[in-house]
Amino acid sequence: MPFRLLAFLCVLAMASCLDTKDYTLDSLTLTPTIALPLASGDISMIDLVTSKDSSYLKVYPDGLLYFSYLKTFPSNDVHDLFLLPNKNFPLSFDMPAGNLPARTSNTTLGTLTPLIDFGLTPQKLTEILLKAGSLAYTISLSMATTPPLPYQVNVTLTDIVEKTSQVPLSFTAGAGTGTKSLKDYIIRMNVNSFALRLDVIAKPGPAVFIPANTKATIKLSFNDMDFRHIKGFLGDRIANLPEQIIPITVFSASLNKSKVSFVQPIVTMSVEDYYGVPCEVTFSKLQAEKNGPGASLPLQIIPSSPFALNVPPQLGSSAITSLNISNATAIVNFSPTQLVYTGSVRINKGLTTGNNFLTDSTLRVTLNTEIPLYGQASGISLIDTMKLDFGDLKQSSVSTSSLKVKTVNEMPLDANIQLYLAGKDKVILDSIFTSNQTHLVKASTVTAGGELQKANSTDFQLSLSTETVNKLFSSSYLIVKAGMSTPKDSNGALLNVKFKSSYKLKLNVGLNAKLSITRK
Amino acid sequence: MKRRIYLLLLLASSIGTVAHAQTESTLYFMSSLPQVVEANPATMPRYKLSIGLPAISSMAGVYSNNGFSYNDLVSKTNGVTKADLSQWTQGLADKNYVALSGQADLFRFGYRLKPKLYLMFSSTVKGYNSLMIPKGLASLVVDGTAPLVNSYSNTSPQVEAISFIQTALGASYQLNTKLTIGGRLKYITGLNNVTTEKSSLIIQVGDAYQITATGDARVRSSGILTKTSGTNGQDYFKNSGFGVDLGATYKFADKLTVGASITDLGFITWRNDTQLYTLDPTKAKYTFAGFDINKLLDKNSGYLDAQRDSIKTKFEMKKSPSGSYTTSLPTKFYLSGNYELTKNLSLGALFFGEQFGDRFSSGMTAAVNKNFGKLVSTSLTYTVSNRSYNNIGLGVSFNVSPVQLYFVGDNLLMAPISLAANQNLNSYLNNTQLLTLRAGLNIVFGWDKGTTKESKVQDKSHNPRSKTSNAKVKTTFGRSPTKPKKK
Repeated sequence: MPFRLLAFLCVLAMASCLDTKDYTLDSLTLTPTIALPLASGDISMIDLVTSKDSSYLKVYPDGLLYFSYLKTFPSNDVHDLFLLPNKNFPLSFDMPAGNLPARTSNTTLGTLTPLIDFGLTPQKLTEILLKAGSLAYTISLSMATTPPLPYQVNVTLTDIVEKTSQVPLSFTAGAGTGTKSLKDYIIRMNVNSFALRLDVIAKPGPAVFIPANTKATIKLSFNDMDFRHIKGFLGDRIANLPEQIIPITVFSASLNKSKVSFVQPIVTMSVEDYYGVPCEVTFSKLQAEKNGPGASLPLQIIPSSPFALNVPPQLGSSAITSLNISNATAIVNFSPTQLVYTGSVRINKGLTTGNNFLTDSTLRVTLNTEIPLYGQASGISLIDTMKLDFGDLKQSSVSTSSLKVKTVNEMPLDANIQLYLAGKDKVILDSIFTSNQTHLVKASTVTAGGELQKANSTDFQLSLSTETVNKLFSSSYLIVKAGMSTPKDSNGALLNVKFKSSYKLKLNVGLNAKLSITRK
Repeated sequence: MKRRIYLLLLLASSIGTVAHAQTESTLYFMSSLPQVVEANPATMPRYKLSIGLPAISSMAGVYSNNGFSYNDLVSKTNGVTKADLSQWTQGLADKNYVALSGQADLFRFGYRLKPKLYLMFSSTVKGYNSLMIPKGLASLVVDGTAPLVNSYSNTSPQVEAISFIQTALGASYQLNTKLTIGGRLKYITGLNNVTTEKSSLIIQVGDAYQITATGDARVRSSGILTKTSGTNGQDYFKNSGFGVDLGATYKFADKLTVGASITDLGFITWRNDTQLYTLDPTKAKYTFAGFDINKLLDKNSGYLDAQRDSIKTKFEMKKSPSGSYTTSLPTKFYLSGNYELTKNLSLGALFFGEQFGDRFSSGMTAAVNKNFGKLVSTSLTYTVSNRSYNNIGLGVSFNVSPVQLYFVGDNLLMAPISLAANQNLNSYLNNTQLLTLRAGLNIVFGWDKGTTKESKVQDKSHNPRSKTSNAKVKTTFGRSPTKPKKK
């Protein structure tokens, strides 16, 4: 308290003897020189490619980067030729007319042994293993009895057995409806047909009068069947393979409009077949396309189309048929934006008999394109746009300025970078650097094999003119454009170089600006 | 002798560059005041009995700034007041201490019990506040980061604050004709404290302008929370300590007296509401090398927010309850010499220093002391301190017993000059880096004229009781020479 009183008294005494005008500042001037880091980072190839491409960029064991476009197109088109239709089989049994005496035990009234034919054509099946499906039944008498007759039907499907226990499907049912699952049952057939047995049984009860022409009706329905496999002769059938496209994004994004040449590209194709049936594949279209079908280059495959697929020896196995692309380098250097194929598969071509099997697996066509980043490129262009906001800083505040650029480049890539100033409509007003200032990043030197020999370091200061600074402040956007190419030899020819995952461009950009800030 | 003079000159020339004390040097020469014992307890005040009443007895304030004056910041040209801060930083010291302290007597009592013995009792509340502004911080703001490229600077300010009540009991005793000793024992009650045990914020700028900040701090406080939350004032009395003032004067010759003293040598143990604020240097480190290009390329919008949060987390001071801790008092050292030119006129010189926290500061004062009878005592001083050289001090006491009115300060003389020349104190205050002012009103009785010879009366302001074996000397000790009784 005494201090506060003392301070208060002192201030009061002082204030009475002060001319406070002296303590009202007319202006405050600061002239700091700021050295400010603007951007930094270790940039690798994965940072330079677009986000669309980055997921395709992979690394070989030796560190070499490559774009991998691997896609497998599963085809159900052959399988779908053999979809099982729903089938209904109405059966009837003539009941014995007249008085049926009282019964103290089950009494068999009669037996039916019909042959069920699925009526499939042209296939001639001998076996179906079902993974889904049901058997629905409806049992009734066509006329009423007096008193009502208690009865049941014993159904025995001797050719439909459970796949593990091999026990035939059988059941007993009275009047009414019911359903039995056919999942995991094997239907053994003789040319699409199999037998069953129906026993109509009167249950114990009093005497019953059965009118004449009374029938016991049994309706069997095979519904929603889907097979795990079918066996038999599948017939001479053709399935069309719809058009499939595998996009090669790098040529539409990161390397768009660039001129590239790759040394060791790989394009392979294979077909994996799970079907135990002779297949012949015909590609009506198999080509690389650039920005649509207008510019295309056919893939030359060995064996050429049509070709027979390798057939798996037994059920559950598969056989792969590999195709070589003899013009893979030409295909990749064509800079395709997509690979396209379409065609057909023909089974049992010209055959009328045979022991085939067909599983629920798909026919798998795999296209693999690997583009190792080993080669040469020019005209690679990267563009990014950033909004400028200088806050309260005014252009008159900056008296001199320069950019400090420091790089250590392990990548064999030269970069000319230009910063464009643009207005609100993004129309370019001016550029920051003069033409001889743009070569900001210099490529590393490489061995004859394209490997990194020595990183290239740069460290320089780029002065910015007052006019440039003024335009910078009047701009709304900064457009960064980088033109990159692989290095050239002494004769000016592009070198084949490798890009490895460990190669980095260490970049530091700083701003040195002398400010003159006056506040009034 | 030449060597001693050389050393003296060397000391004097260097003292101005390091001086930034909060010491009242003119007071040392004002032996007419009972408060003179604050500087040297061996000094016997001129009055036999003195009483200081609360609030009016003595109020003192000290402002010191060893870095800059207002005029270093602001200039006025053609009626336009401008602050050009770029000029300002060039003249700053590496460490610029802006200090403010004050004290007030709650009660004071002094009595010359015997001619050789002076007893004193006082209770005083004192407060010291010091803010150290490193040149690095000012330069960072004013000059920018470019001067730090490939270099670094400590930009962390430091705060020291201590306030306490001291209750002192002491005595001054003349051992022989040459030597007088004095001392005071003090019981200290601490009020508030902020102690910066360590504090650094190193800003380093790399070759590519990367800016790295590394912080390290350990600050203790006591009574700050209690003060703001207004809890029980009794808690302040948990902070206790002891102190001592020691002093001596020695009369080398008839006219030459030297003195030495050390005051506020002691400590306070802080127990009330003690808090510890720390910044872990292993965590408080952050490098800004520019915006991460990869994040920019990825258009990572949350990147900047994440950086801001990271900095906040790294540099947030951790606060935790602290146990008791002990700090020393702002201890002062004085070394003086006084040469009596004539009766009532002497020359004095004083070297002084102060240890406050981990900082030792010093200064030097030259004084001319003049008593105009017993009515007016004056001291005119020149002080070099706080890297300032324009401190002409003045001390005046009007001794109209039983009332003694006084004021004393180390940089006062320019005030009336400024007032006379400009009709305001602006030019005076604008140039001031050191300002001390003590003023008050004491109740005093019994002026001691000092040693009186039959042939002549000498004024011995620093040792008024100079009893020699000379039979011609007649002592008066606080009373007028015996007058012949009227018949």
